[in-house]
Amino acid sequence: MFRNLAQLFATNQRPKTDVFLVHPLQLGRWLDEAWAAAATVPPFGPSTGQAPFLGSTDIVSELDLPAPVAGVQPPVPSGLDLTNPDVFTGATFPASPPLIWDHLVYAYLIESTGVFEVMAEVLRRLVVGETLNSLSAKGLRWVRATEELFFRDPPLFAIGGITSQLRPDLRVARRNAYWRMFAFEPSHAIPRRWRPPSFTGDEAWKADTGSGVNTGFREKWVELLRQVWLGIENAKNGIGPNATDREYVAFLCKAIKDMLNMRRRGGQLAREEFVHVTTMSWFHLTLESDSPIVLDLKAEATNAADRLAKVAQIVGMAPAARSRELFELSELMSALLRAIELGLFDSGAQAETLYLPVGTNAKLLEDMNKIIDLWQSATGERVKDRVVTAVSGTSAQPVRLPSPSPSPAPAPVPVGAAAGNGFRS
Amino acid sequence: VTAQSPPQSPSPADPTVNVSADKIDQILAALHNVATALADNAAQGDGRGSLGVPTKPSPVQAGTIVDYTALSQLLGRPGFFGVVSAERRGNKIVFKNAPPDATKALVQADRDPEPEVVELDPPIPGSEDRTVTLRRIGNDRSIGRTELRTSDDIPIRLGPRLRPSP
Repeated sequence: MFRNLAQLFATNQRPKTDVFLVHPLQLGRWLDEAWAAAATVPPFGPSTGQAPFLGSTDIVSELDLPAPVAGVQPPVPSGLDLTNPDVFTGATFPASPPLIWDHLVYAYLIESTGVFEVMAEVLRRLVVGETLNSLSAKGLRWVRATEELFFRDPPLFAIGGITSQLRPDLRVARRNAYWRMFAFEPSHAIPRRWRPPSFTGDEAWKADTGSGVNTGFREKWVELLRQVWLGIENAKNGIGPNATDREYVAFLCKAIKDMLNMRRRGGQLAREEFVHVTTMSWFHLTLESDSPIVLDLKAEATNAADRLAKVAQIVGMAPAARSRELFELSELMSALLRAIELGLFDSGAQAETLYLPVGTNAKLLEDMNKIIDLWQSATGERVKDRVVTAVSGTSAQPVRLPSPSPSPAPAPVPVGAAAGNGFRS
Repeated sequence: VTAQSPPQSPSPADPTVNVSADKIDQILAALHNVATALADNAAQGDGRGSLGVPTKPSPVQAGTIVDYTALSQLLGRPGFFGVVSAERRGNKIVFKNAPPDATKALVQADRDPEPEVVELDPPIPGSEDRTVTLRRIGNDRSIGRTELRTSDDIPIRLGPRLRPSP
């Protein structure tokens, strides 16, 4: 979400890192305005008339502030000015066009790099002692905003206030959301220092989820990537046997859509997703360029993964071994899963656009190819190989069609490799 | 060192060479046909070329592609342009900075099964904004989906959700 805001600064000829110079009160209020603006997102896909992407037509308006009557100002507008981060305009942020926040998988992939725990340790050291470099004025503003926004209780009645006596720990809350939506867990444990007093291991986020866990997500997702790769391989095959089955690809997309939408019924997880992707986008944006804090830590590099490795080394930690792939995959997989959830690939003709050049889908094809390459590299799963069966040798598709109903829970397999990720080396 | 003379070019009168040249011509012609088919792959009625490979999106595919592009733009991804800003003024909708190849708009009111497809009003000199005048959808209706389309009905931009006109 903060990367969207950075993009808006960039379109106004300002550096993206201006986001870090905005007062945290304004940023906090902007988050509430961004939430409310989602009500104007146009409906996508075939189900016109439906509200966007959150599982309920009303969830945004049910949770936002009441609209002010004519002549009354909304309470505490963000007053953001995209041409000057040190200015307060007194107006709410214009929501045209509105912004869409990333899919929950974005938060999962970014957290799997280890960035949150590494930056938490950096911040801790900066505010409790003098073991790191002294900060520039801009670095100091990053520290203040980061601590205010992500390491203290959020302001009362803010959209970001998802912690309470009932779920006191945000780390556990994030893992609970990942587990329910994907049956994924970050590969690193919660560092001992940050475990809540009543910490019970992974039961802390798995307990009481009931049957509401998408245990079959990984299997269907990898099968979708395999089938799309088969389509890419055969895209220009006009004469030989072609095992691509566009209806099967559509079935897989629908199975994933149904599975994810089951977790969103009535707008469940909408607010949690908003908070978690917002948090991770702040740290992703921090490392996406040589931002003030990166410069202060002397961790300049050419990409987010290398900057993370340098920062982690300073505080004696190690990021995920495949953090580069995870950073790059996050944005791509987020857009694709949003599109699948919205039903953009529900029919065979629509599913063809994932692998067949039809004139105007070059960007979509490029995204799919990158997702396949990055997922394979990040997880070590050989997506591009055909499935070999005992009966018929190499088989393009399985006998049974995919079903969105959950299968028995498998042992969790983390996406990020990296033993030691998030731990002291 | 003895200089060798270059090999003699085959004589056109040589019957063996003539036969080979004919064969080569036939092979070249066949290859040319294949190359033409691959290059042109001219679109058939269903958007598929002579080899069965699509050369242009069907309307439903074009809708999917513009939706994905708009979604990516709203997610903040650079390089994606699928959204157009719009506002409602009475029975008109004004599309800001409409792309030049847009000639018509699809407008669908909430809970309305059939969209209204209308030609864009004539362009205003010196402005890139384009307007449409709604005929069927009343000012009191919320509009869920707006699309700008080309003359052959391919959607190219997605507009915002619009509240009833004051």
